[in-house]
Order: sequence, then C-alpha cells, then structure tokens
Amino acid sequence: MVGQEAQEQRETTNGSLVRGYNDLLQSFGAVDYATLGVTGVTGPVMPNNAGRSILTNDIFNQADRQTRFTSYYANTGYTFDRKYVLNGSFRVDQSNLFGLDKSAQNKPIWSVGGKWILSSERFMKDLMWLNHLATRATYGLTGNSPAPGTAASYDILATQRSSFLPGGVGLRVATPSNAKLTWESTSTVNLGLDFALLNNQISGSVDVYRKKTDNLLGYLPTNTFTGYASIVGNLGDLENKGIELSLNTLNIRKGDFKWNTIFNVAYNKNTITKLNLGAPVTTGRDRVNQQYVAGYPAFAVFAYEYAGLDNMGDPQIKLADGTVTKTPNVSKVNDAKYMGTYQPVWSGGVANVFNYKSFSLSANAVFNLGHVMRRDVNGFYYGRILHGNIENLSTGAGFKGGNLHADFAARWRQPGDESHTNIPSYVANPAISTARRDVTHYTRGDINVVSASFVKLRDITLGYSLPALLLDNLKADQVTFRLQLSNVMLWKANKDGIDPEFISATFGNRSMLANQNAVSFGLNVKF
Amino acid sequence: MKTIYKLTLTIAIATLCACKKSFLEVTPKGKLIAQKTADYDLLLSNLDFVNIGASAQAPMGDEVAAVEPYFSGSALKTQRLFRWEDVVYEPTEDAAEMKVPLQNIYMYNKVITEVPESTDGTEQQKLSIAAEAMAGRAWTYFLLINYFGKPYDPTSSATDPGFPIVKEADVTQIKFTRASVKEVYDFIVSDLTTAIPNLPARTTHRLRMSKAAGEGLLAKVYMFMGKYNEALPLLNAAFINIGNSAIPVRLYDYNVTFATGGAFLPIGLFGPAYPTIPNNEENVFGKQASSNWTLTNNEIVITKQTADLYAPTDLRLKFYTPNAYSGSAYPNGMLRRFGPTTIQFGVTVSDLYLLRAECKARLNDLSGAVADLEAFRNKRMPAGSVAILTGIASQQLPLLKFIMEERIREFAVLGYRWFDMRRLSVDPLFSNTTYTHTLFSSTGTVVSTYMLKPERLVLRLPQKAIDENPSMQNNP
Repeated sequence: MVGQEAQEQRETTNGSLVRGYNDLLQSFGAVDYATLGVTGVTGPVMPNNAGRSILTNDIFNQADRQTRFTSYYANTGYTFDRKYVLNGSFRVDQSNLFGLDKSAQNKPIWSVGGKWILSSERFMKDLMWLNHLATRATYGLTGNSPAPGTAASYDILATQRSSFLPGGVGLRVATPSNAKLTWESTSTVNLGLDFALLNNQISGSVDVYRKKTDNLLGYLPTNTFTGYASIVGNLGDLENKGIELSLNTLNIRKGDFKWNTIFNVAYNKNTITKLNLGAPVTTGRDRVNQQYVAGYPAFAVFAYEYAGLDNMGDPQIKLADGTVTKTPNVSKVNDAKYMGTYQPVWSGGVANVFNYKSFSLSANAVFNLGHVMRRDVNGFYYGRILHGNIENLSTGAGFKGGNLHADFAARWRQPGDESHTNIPSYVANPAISTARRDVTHYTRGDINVVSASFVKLRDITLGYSLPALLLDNLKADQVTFRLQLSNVMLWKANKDGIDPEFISATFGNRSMLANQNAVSFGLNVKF
Repeated sequence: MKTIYKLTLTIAIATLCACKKSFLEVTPKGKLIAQKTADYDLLLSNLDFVNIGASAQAPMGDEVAAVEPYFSGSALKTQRLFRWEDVVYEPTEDAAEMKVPLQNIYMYNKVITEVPESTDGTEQQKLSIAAEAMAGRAWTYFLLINYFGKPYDPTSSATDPGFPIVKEADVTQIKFTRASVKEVYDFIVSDLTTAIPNLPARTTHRLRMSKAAGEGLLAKVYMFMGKYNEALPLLNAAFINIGNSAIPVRLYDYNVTFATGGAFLPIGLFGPAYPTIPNNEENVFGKQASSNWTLTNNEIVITKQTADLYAPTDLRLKFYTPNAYSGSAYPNGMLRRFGPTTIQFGVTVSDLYLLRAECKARLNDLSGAVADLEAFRNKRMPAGSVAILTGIASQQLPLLKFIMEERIREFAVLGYRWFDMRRLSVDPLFSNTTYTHTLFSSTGTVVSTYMLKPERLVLRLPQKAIDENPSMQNNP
C-alpha cells in the first residue's frame, strides 16, 4: 500500500481585557496605555517598577498556531505458504514546523520484519499440545526532531511587546541556532517468540530487544562565552537493552466460572554510551546535579557521601580520599557517588480476572523495581522565615510559598545535637551560611537517596451485568454495575511514606497525591 | 485501460507535487527567522539590550561605605565586592557581569554578519543597521574590558590579558582565548570608527544608537585610553548632533524639576520620581542595570567625606536620605542614596558634559573646561552655588580633581566611580592614590577597613568560565 496524507492543525486563542467594565451597561473606561506603559504612575502604594508603577498594554492578546504536515508512506506485507511472513514499511514526513532545515525534513523512517510460523510446519503438526509457535525478527529506524520552536539550525526570533521600545514592538532571539543540530535516530532490533500451549490455555510472548539511539536530543550546556548557558542539541548516544515477557493463562474454566491471569514483566538496562558536553564537568557539585553521564544509565542519581554534622550543625561529606569536610565547593567529580537510576529497572504487572455468570472480579497490580529517588527533605536553612517582602509583589512571590518541611523541627539546634540528627542547623544570615557550609551536602547526600521500588494495586473491580431477561423489560441492551477501588499501595521500599509515583526523583519534591485509594461506583446503561 | 491508469497516476503525482510546496510554505505566527532588513531592524529593539543586569561596579567605588547590621545580611556577592575580595562569583555562578553582555554580543554579531545578505532593504538601511549593532557591540566590549581587563596602559596593554573577542554568533563554539587589552580596545575603536559615518544622524529614540551616541561613546573610550586629543573633537561633534535630535536630549534642570510641581516630585519611599529609560531626557543612548543599593538595600551608603562634597544647596542631595529603608538614621552623617533605582550607563548627557570638561582641562583649555562645568552645575543647583573658586578654576590639577569630585557628586553609588578609579590608576597625575573601604557598626564605630590591592582593580573571571575553558589564564 502506498499513501499520502496531508494534515493541518490550527489553534487560535485571543482575549481582551478592558478596565472599568460595567456589566449592566456593558461600558468600559478609556485607558492611556502609551503613557501608563512608559511614564506610569509615581509614588503608588505598591510600586512594580522601581518606585513607580507601570501598566503594560494587555488590552488584547492573540495566539495563532498553525501546523501542517504531509506524509508519504508505503506498507507492504507478504505471506508465503502460511508459514513465512515479510513486512516492510517506509514513511517520510514533512512539515512547516518552524526552523527545520530542508535536509532535516526528509529523514525517512522505515522498518523490515520477518516471521516464521513454526507451528504451521509439517514437522510440528503432530505436537498436539502446541497450538501456536512463531519467531519474529524486526529491524527499524525511527527519527525524532526537536519540538517546534525549541531548536533549529536558524535563530528563532520571538516578538517582544513593550511600551519602552520604538513602536512598542521588537524582536528577540528566543532560541539560538544550533548549526550542528541533527536528528535523533533510533535503530531497534527485536527478536520475539510467540506461543500458545495446551489448547490455548497458556499463551504468551518473549521479546528481546536492543535499541540504539544516536544524537539524543536534550539540553546541552554551552560555553559561557557563546552568550547562552544551554541549548537544545544532540546530547549523545544511548543504548537500551531489555527483555519482555508476557504470559496469559486460563487457570480454571468450569461451568460458569472462569479465572484468567495475565502477567508481564520487563527488564531494561540503558547506558549512555557517548555524551557531548560544551564544558567538562569537574566539580562534585556539578556531578550531583547531572542526570546523564557517559558510562552510566540515563537518569542517573549521584550523591555526596554524607558524613554527619559537625559541632556547628553544618553538613559534612566524605571525599574519595577519605577526608571529611564541610567546606563548600571542594569536592571533585570523583567525590560524588553513583546511587542508581530513577528509571524503573524492572516493571510489570499481574492481572487476575474472575468471571461467574453475570459477575466479574478483576484485580490488577503493577510493580516498578530497582530504581532510586531522592527523599523530600527540608530545604530551608537560612534567611528569614517569612513570605517574600512587598517589593516582590509584582512577581507574585510575596504571597506564595507554603509551610516549612516538618524536618525543620528536628534540625540541629545546639552542640551535641549532631549525635542524634542529620538535619543541618538554621543560620539566619544567608551570607554566613553560604560562606561557611553547603547545605546541599545534606540535601543531595547519599542518606537522602532511597529505593523507589513499589508494588501497587492499580485497581480492583467488581462488575455485575443484568441478565438478559431483565434487560428486555427495561428495553435496554446492556446494564452494568461497577464497583472499583483504585491505587492501593501494597508495598514500598522506602520508610518515609513517599509514594514514588508522586515525587520528582531528581529534586526530591513531593507532589499532591491524586486518585489514591479511590472508591468509585459506576453504572453503564446502553439502549 | 492501461493508458487511463497511467494518466490517473500522472495526474495524481502532478497534483501532489504541485500542492506540496505551497501547502508547507505557511509561516507559523508569532515567531520568525530573520530574513528581511526590517527584521534585523526590529531585532535591535529589544529589552535584552536595555536591561544589562551588571552592577558589580556600584559597591566597589571608594565613595561608599558599608553599615552593620545590614552588611552582614546582604548578598554574599555584595560583601565580596565591597571587601574587594579575589573571588566574587560562586564556582557555578553565571556572572551577571557577563551573562547579558555576552548574550547581547551574540545578537549584535548576528545582525552584523547577516544584515548585508538580508532582503527588501536599501544598502543605506543595511549599513545603518549594521552600524548600530557595531556601536552596541563596542559599548558592550567597553564594559566587559573594564570589568575583566587591566586599565588601558599604553606601555603594557599589548600583553595584558583582556577578554575573548567573539565575532560570530555560534553557540556551538568551544574554543575561546583571551585577546590582549590593546586588541580589545582596538576592536572597540575599529567598530566605532566604522559605525559612526553610517549611524542615524538624528537621535529618534533613546534605545537606539545614533551618531551623537556613537561619537560620545568613542570619545569616552579614547579618554579611557588617555587619548584626549582624539576625544575632544568627537565630544564637540556629539554635542552638535545632540542639539539636532528629533526628541529632547538635554540635562534636566533640577532647579525646575525639584521646584513645586516639578517632574521629579513627589519624593517617595523610593526617592524622587525619576523618569523611566525611554523618557529620560539625559539619555542619548539608554542602557541600564537595576540596583537595589538605590532602592531598598541598606548596606551601602555614601561616606561622610562623600556627603561633604556637596554644597548644602546642591539639589542632587534630594537623591539621599539619612534613614535606612523602613529603618533608623545612619550614624556619622552617612547617607543612603534612593533613586534613580537603575544605573543609567549607556551614553548620558551628564557624563558627556563632565567628560568634555575634563578633556578640555587635560588639554589645558581651563576656561573652556570651567564653562562646561558651570553650564552643567547650573542645572544641578541654584545659580548662587554654581561658580568654581578661582583658585581651582585657574590651575589644571585642582580643576581636574574638582571635575573628578563633580563626577562623584553626580554619579555616587551608581558605579561610575569604580571605572574612574581604574583609569586614574594608570594616570600619572593621580596614580599614587590608595583606596580604602570602611565597614561601620550601627552606632558608627569602625568594624573593619579594607585596602584595595592593585590587582583587584580587575575582576577575576568567574570560575565557571575558567572550568569550561581550562587553557584560559585567570587574572591574579
């Protein structure tokens, strides 16, 4: 099959804002934005621009986004003698997405695959217990370009509106160009085995794969003297290897009763094989902030080797040569320890489904194992325990910020406390705190990296369908009741009450739980 | 049948190819790639060129002192700058004194290299836009070399390490080497001399470069190189072109702006009602850095000696308060500057007046210098206080010292003094000066004093930049 496809998407939003609007009369005031934008008002109660207040012209805004794609594709499939199957596909996409070079537009995506259905072979025909057996092999190449507007081989300019500028409008460089930008491409080799045994009571598949990603896209730190701190560029190469198993068994089938189990498990190991950095990483401080390091898995977590507090309540670390120090910025790359990756190494799930007459019961559990995360710890160790002051009103910071972390109460307060707490002291003066110590020795210390493994009952559902006789009376096609309990934590490795699904593993910020231990009741009626 | 198939196929392919081009050639709105000359013109209008964010010079001038307990609570960088410490930036910090300036260099380089190839513009328009970018690049390099390079000394500048000269807008570059101070100054002078003939003859907007601004800037650069003969004709030309501006470019008369109903009133919590950058008539070319030391920060004040430089009638005293922001009065007669809350350091008329007075004095035109100085002072204080004592007006060195003090009176706490201290250090007339900073307790007793070491007239490059460029030599 050969095809062509054209697509357009257009989004337009606009808004207008008037001041002094009277809903009843639908009238509004006249505002001199030209003057208020530059001269503003002097001596207001809460100035937003250095002693005066300026009002930017926000009377109207419009955003228009139009994307167009054309694609050419071809698919082919051929089966010979019901035993051998060959597949091939090919695709080229082009778009008006901004800043893509002509040469980057035409990257073809293709795959080829073959399948040998062994069970159709004559020599397998006699194996009555074997219903189906086939081996598969595919090789494919896919490409990925940066999100539109985030990177390009040209400088992308964006409009800037400000009353300060001539005519109220100007242009700024939104994204500097990266002349060396190329496609991210992934080649995948996949070998698979499909099987069904014992009258199809057991079926499943095993897949082994190797994915090689070249020119991985990501934020690339650049040299200070270029004028920009980072750009979207080609970070390096990544390799993923893994094995996936899925098994579907029909355990019992007796009369009206049926019990099915679906089990799958996947193991993945990835390694950054090459990393392009504009500047070498030399300090421990840089290393504990790194997620990508050559020779380590992607999404790596590094930490200082924590060595407790000193008698001033300052966090100390142990360097690779064994010395214990609290001095900021002395640690080197090798002083940071690799703790693991925050991407699950093992993942999978088990689902059990029971059916009896009109009742059904299903339980679905998932697991993620073998990965790590940072704990959320107190991050407040200096400065004033206040909301931002009034001058920050224009940024909104004045009213933001929540309560302090409960760990703050357990911090070091007086000499001797270091024997029973690891939480650094509070030093009111930020300058003294910064000069004397580095609190990230604690917050990014190894004691605050914990296992993120967990097993969770994703949902357990009891369903009941009304029998056909009742349905006739109701003149309905189908009526189903459903009672569901979802997201129940069955087991987690950490002892801090952290749900690993609700924490940013790199920064250790917990987010609000949602839809956990939720009970829902459903009624589904079809006429 | 076969012919029909072929025909259909041909039509189908023809249609596809025909519609392909126009279908994809729809430019997304709101963002663009510069192509037309007008795009490059708009690219020179943007706030990144206006808000420079570099203010390290302010706490380093010798006209200021620091006061406890505010000083201990101030930012680490402020404390380090005030103490003239060797290391100012944290190892992973992007130095504010380099960040925006280098980003601006990128944009200026882009305009300079690309505008000649742009479409839909006349040669003259292209030359003018490139000239604006070159003059802007020169302003930026002049700032950078005065942070990170030694003051220009003709005997050593050819070997003094300066700042990398970047001429290409390319974020993938990784090799940078420091050019010498002389090379950087030569680059600045070459940019400005190339640009000036093509700059817009009239100043039409304060955020855009004009001939007057280019000439004024080049004059200042020459004065920082000690080339007063070259500077004077440029200053004169700049004043002529300023007179020819399409918008008012002139000194504010403080006798009017601080009189009843004046433009600088009321004097509020944040000082006099000083105009914003595009409205500020003293700007020939506007560049600014916001400064908390003239807004709400209390740690940096002017010393008693600085306060004593002002005649009691001097209206510039309206920019000072004896009190901390929402706090009590300072000891020892020290004053806190409040307003303007931004450092205006593009090309300003006030700076040009004082530079020309100095230039004339250096070239022994003492009466010309006094005339400029009095014309300037006339706008800053009542007529009765303007005149300069004959003992000063008639001798070169006392007059030059008076002009330097006038620069302090005009620009205290705004960082101008730091750059003056640097250039005076290589000036035989002033070179033996030593500088100290004093930290006072809240009751006015001396807590500590700090001496400025000669090598600290130069900021060290931030460690982050050195880490990224291991072969680069940092300043001692």
